[in-house]
Amino acid sequence: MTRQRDRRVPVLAVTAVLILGLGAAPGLRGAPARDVLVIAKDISDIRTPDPNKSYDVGGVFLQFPAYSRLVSQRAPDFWRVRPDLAVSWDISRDATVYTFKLRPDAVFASGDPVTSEDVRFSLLRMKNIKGYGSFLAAPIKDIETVDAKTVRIALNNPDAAFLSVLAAGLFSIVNAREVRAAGGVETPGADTLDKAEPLFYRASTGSGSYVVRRYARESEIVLERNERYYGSKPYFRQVIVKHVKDPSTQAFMLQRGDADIALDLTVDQVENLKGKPGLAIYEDPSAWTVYVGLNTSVKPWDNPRIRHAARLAIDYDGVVSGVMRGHGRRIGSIMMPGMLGFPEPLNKELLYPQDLRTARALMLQAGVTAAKVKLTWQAGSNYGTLNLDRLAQKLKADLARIGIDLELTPAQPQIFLTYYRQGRPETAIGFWFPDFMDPDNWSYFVTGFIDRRLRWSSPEGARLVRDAKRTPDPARRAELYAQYNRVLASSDSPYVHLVQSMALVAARADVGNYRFHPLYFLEIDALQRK
Amino acid sequence: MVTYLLRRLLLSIPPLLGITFVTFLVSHTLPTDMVLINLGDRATQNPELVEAFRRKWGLDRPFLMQYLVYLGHLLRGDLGISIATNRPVLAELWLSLPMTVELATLAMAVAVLVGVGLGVLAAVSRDRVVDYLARALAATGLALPTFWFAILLLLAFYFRLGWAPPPGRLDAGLAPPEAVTGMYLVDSLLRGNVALFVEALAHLILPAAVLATVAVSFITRITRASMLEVLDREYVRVARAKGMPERRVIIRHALRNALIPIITVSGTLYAQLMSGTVMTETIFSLPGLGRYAVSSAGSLDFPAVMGVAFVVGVIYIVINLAVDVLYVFVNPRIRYA
Amino acid sequence: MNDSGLRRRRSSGRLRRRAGLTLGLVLVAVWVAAAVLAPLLSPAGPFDQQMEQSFRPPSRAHPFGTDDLGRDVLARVLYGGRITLTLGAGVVAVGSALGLAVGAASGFVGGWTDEVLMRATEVIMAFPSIILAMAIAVALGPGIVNAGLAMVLVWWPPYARLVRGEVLAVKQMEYVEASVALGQTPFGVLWRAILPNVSSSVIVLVTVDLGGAIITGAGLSFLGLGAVPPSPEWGAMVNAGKELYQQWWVATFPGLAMFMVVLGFNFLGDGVRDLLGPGRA
Repeated sequence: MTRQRDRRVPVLAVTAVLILGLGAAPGLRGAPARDVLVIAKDISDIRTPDPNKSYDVGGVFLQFPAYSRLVSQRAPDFWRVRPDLAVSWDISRDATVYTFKLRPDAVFASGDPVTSEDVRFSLLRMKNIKGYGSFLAAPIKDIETVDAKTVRIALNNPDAAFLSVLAAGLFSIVNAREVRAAGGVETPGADTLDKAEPLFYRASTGSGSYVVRRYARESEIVLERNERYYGSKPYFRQVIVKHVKDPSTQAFMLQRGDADIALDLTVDQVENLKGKPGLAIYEDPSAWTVYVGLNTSVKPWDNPRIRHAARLAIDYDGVVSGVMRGHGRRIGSIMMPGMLGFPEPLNKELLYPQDLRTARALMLQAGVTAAKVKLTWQAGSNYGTLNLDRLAQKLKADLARIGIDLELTPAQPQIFLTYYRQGRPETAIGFWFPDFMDPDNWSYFVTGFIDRRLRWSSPEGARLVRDAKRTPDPARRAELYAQYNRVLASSDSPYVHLVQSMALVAARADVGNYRFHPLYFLEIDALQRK
Repeated sequence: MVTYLLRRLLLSIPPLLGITFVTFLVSHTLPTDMVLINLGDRATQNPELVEAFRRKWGLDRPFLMQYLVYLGHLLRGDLGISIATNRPVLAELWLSLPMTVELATLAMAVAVLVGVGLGVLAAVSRDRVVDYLARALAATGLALPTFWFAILLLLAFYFRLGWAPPPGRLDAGLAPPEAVTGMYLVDSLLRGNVALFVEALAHLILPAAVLATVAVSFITRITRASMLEVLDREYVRVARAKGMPERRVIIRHALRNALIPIITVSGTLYAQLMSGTVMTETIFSLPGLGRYAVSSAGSLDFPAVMGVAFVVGVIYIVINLAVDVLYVFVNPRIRYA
Repeated sequence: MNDSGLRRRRSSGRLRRRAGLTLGLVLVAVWVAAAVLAPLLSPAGPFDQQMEQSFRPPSRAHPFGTDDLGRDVLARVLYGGRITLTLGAGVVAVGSALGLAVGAASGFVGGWTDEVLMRATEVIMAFPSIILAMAIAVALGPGIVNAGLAMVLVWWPPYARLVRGEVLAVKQMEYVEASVALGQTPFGVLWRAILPNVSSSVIVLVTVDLGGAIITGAGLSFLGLGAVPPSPEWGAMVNAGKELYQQWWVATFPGLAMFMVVLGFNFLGDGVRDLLGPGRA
């Protein structure tokens, strides 16, 4: 017994060494196929693969390629709505009834034709399963199938933004027959009756350019080309969205060629990758816009003069060039510049300069020489190319120059939202990221949603966005939203608009036809290999 | 023996209940709005959605009632439904736990082999160069911050040298073996797929090396200390005096008697590794128990957090029990009545 | 091998052991001194930003280079030692005191008290500490004090177990029984007869433990659960620079500082154990 044990130790050791050696040898790895694309991305936030329920950032890698929607929005005019499953539409003059004519040739990956019933089923199911994003379907009152290829949607109230809403991922059209067979329910009460969610772990039931071959949580999404797709066929046979949590690891994989595109790199990493052979960097204005919110119920922000002084004390160019290392744009209001009602010239006009002399004079007029106030933000986070920890330290240094001492009190991500919702931060770094690409989605800054957190209100702003929502005429809407942006940029406003982040993406140089999308990261189906 | 085991298992129930209660208390008294975190900022503007959410997850009931309901489910082996994914917590744990078991076991196996070997060597050659080196090595291993070491290894062996495969459990696009145990190493062999086994193993080597380094340091230290104590004992001297070969003296008489503290320490380390290692899992993109714990706690998915705490508690109890049983095999003089 | 040879080896070994102890002492002393004297040694303040000077490599003006906001890394490493070392020492001090109290109570009183306290230690040891740390950071906000609190909560059980074991062993000894017979109060017996006997093993554990506490504290900051900006805590500094390979100096110097201190404590711990301890880790 003992003798045997004596020998076992070296035998085990040798086996271990052998195994370790074997492991180092290349296993199943061969040369990467040209028609396979690997995207490195943190997709751990995906809570469900159900396209009518997923309201997660990473979920778009399932929704966008595997499903199509009635309408779409594409670069570069993201606010413009284009046909997709619907070839044409008609909007009633009061913007309460939308009628869509469907493509005659559209079929699901299973071969079933896409009919008005599929549209009705998908949209009502999305509304009634009461998922995280179901609030977006709240405007829908009723959906009627006029004929197999015509569908009519009636809304509760006039809503000129509804067309853009339909381009959001949650409004993906699923195959009603397949989802019903898996226990899908679209009627009221679906939140308890619907049992179709497990289906989407196994397969997709869409009519997009790809089908989901495999989805494994915190592991990968494997997409395969849908040969029945009605649009132009994508170049890549297979697209793998590989879950890679750590940005450093993503950068390694990209440089070694194990990933073709890395989507979560920090601004510093991209700076370091610049000019490396075999790599290409893409930079596009993202939908992240960032502001500092001043709580008007606390000292010293209760004084509009001091709010304005703070606005004039910030070294905006330093924020862009230093904190964001040049990968950002200044904004004069909260919308992404270029949006309907917020054209580039208006953005320029609304920018404030750094003017320390005026800022100090305003402080003097307010009779305040020194003030202490807390700054709260979501600790350790990045809003696009903006590193918040770095920004907070920069703001502290800037405001110190006019005698305002910012006490830095970061909060954990889980608590920041709660705090901010309760209106507790004295000063907060806030952001906006849209659910859909219509100026209406940026109106929450006067509707009692964000403004209440800062104890501020603007009856004029509220009236403007209310009117704009009911106005179908684009020119008239643009005018109303322009006025709204002026309200947000007024000197009395509690918002100090800072920057728009960039979407910085690094890719292998042989990947071509990269097209950015603010909601879907990129248009996967457009990519090619050179 | 059997009665002893039964008694121990019974005695482990109160701590387990304690763990579930503490976790429940902590997750329900945090000053955050669970509905807000889970539903999101914009959805909570819609009272209908908030109402449905509260009803679905029993948040409209009093705290103690919620806990009792949870316990009731637990008794039936039901860990509840994850708020985040709307799937049974048990099913979610089946995705992360096997990965962690695989990694921890591999790391521990290496650590015990190397650590005991190094420790014995150090003790036998006390105060000579070998001893000195082993001790310096152990001190260094303990001084390496895991997160730093993990990145360095990845940088060297994957990025620069290209010997190790990219992070993750398998290469991109490679289908995992059909799940039986959920452990790729075991499942691939069960299917007779050696190539896949090698692939899965290759992906585990670097993270296992990171975890093993710390464990090796602890095991080397305890082995050396324990060996030194035993080597001074009467029976070892007697054995030597009787002219027994040194190798035999060391392994049969010394190491055998020195094993008890080594087993104790190894058991604790194993339990720690099994309860998840967030930083290593993050850097190597491994969906293990540590990441699951952090992401569930991050989204205040309390059924999932409870599930993790419960499973970790069970792991500790099982490993402690296994350690006690091992004592008997190592030293037959220990008897449990 | 004869006796005298053994003795000679032992004495030269003692020298070597002393070498380890000395090396440990020197490493620790250097960094403690650096932290204490930070205001004198620093070329700049730890919070002085100079945006246009960001990411400068080590030079004569900035021996450790500058970070993302143009702050001097050397200054931050020096000042950071204050935070990191205080956190580690504080956690071990409070944790061991707590463990001592629980262990002594458990071992001395025995019975149900013992049973309950030991079950409590088991609960704590089996509780996923990362969840606890996250809960505390969420409830009380991230920060160095709260990170310390989270650590203390899980730090005491090993001490409690150690002290309980020692107390149980010592309790049976003659002189303890004698002091009880002489009519001393239970607390007096505990204080005068038992604790002095337990202290040496606690001291050994404390020294060995210090390095671990520093690593754990820095790890919490690394995860964003500890020190908050602009605090120059070492773990937080490593975290801020972990993605910068070309600007290696941002993370390497605080990382190296941490490595050296912990190594120092490990050597010190080994040495102290050899001097005081019974040979167990």
